[in-house]
Amino acid sequence: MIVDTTSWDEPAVIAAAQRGNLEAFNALVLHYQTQAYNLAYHLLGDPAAADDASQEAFVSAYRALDKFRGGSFRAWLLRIVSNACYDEMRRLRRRPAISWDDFGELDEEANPHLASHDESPEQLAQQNELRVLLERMIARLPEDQRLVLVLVDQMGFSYEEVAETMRVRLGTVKSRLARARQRMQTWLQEERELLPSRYRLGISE
Amino acid sequence: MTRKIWSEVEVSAYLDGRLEGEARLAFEADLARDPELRRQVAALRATVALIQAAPLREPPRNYLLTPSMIATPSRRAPQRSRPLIWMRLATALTAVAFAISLTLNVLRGTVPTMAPRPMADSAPAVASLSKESAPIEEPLVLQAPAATEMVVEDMTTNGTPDEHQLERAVLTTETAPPGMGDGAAGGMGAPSNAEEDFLPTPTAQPQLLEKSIEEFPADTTSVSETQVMAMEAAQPFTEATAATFAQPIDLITPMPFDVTGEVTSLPLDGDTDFSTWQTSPPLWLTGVLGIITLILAGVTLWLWRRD
Repeated sequence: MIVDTTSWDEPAVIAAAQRGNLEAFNALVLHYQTQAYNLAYHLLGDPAAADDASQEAFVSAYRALDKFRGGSFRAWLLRIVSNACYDEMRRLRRRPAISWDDFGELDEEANPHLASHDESPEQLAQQNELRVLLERMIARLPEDQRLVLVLVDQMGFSYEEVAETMRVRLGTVKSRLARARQRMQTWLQEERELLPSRYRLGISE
Repeated sequence: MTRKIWSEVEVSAYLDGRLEGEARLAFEADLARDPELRRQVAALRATVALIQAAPLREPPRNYLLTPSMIATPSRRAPQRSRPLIWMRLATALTAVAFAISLTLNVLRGTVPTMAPRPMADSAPAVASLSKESAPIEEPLVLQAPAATEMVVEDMTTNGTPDEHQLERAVLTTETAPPGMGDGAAGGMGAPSNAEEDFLPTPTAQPQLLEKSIEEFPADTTSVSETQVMAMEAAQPFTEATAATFAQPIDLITPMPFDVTGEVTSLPLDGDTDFSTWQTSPPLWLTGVLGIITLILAGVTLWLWRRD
């Protein structure tokens, strides 16, 4: 079966994967691997650890595919990713922390499928600069607030999806998200001058 | 009119369209007339927009699966740490020791000893027992029933003694209901077929009865004191006693001893030794083992969860 990624029919792809179609599952991998890796990175704070955890998570997800009974596949998958990250934390026996030294340049040649060709190099540079700054701030958040902020504001999860992924109540999601946003707002106001120029105007002093 | 202070949760929820119903209407009404609330909402909206604008980190590679990756376990079996292995072993050993100790303590309290104390002092006396030296006089007297008073009354009131009546009087058990039979018997039992109703008598008793009958004077207004005393000394004739003497009496009661002097069975004199059946650990040791087992189990669990 050749998976057509232009017309994304997720339920059909999931059903094919559950029937043992590895190509269908790999289509799901390509669709969600960026989100999975970013979640793993924000939890572990280390690119290499996030890489290992992401691969482990996808293998675990394939083996547990028959347990998916419907609902948000993205929430189900990222819960597996977060569990893989907690396993990785226990294995490494260290708390997640962002490291400036571990930040590397995006290697688009190694990952042509992921390379974006819409922005100019200057725009890409500013985006990376913003990302670095935000990652540093996000890393300062408590883990529970960090997870909610990344899932909602960076990955576009709904409150219900976040509640399902983190297995918490809806009210807990709302309160954690509100506190995370409030802190980010405070820090962005404090470090406004470090923001790229195109993003500075939106943040008032 | 005091301005409602909206919480950061409500402002954030309104930003995501999650403030519903009357709360949303009230918020929007306040938003229209409160510049401070508008500024607060605007600042939060810009922050969220900036976070959303930041690109996601690109993964260093694709995580596509191959058949070989899904065929074998992806993660190596977690290695147990050495401390955990040793703690498991220690916990198992102490648990076994505690179980054994507890079992022995429990058995000590439920199984009495059956080993009698050696009767060394009485051995010579036992050894000296023989058929010839056994006392013989008591069984003859003891087996006579103790219905003495009634016998005396019958004899005095009825005048001439009646042989059968006398025999019945002597042999009557204590269970004979009073008032049965004729008045002369006075509760001695039915006069008819009395002999068939009697339990088997000991061989000694006919001798006593015969002797009593033979010596009984024609004038029965009084009974010799000797005869009365002999009868008074007789024990009540009960069924149990009769059953015991259903067989010919062996004047020598076999003693539960080996004549060689070694005690081979439980003596009947209350000198049984009920000391402990087997060696068991002290109770405090069992308690200590239990506490140590619990502590080791807790540490093992902590190490396992940590790993």
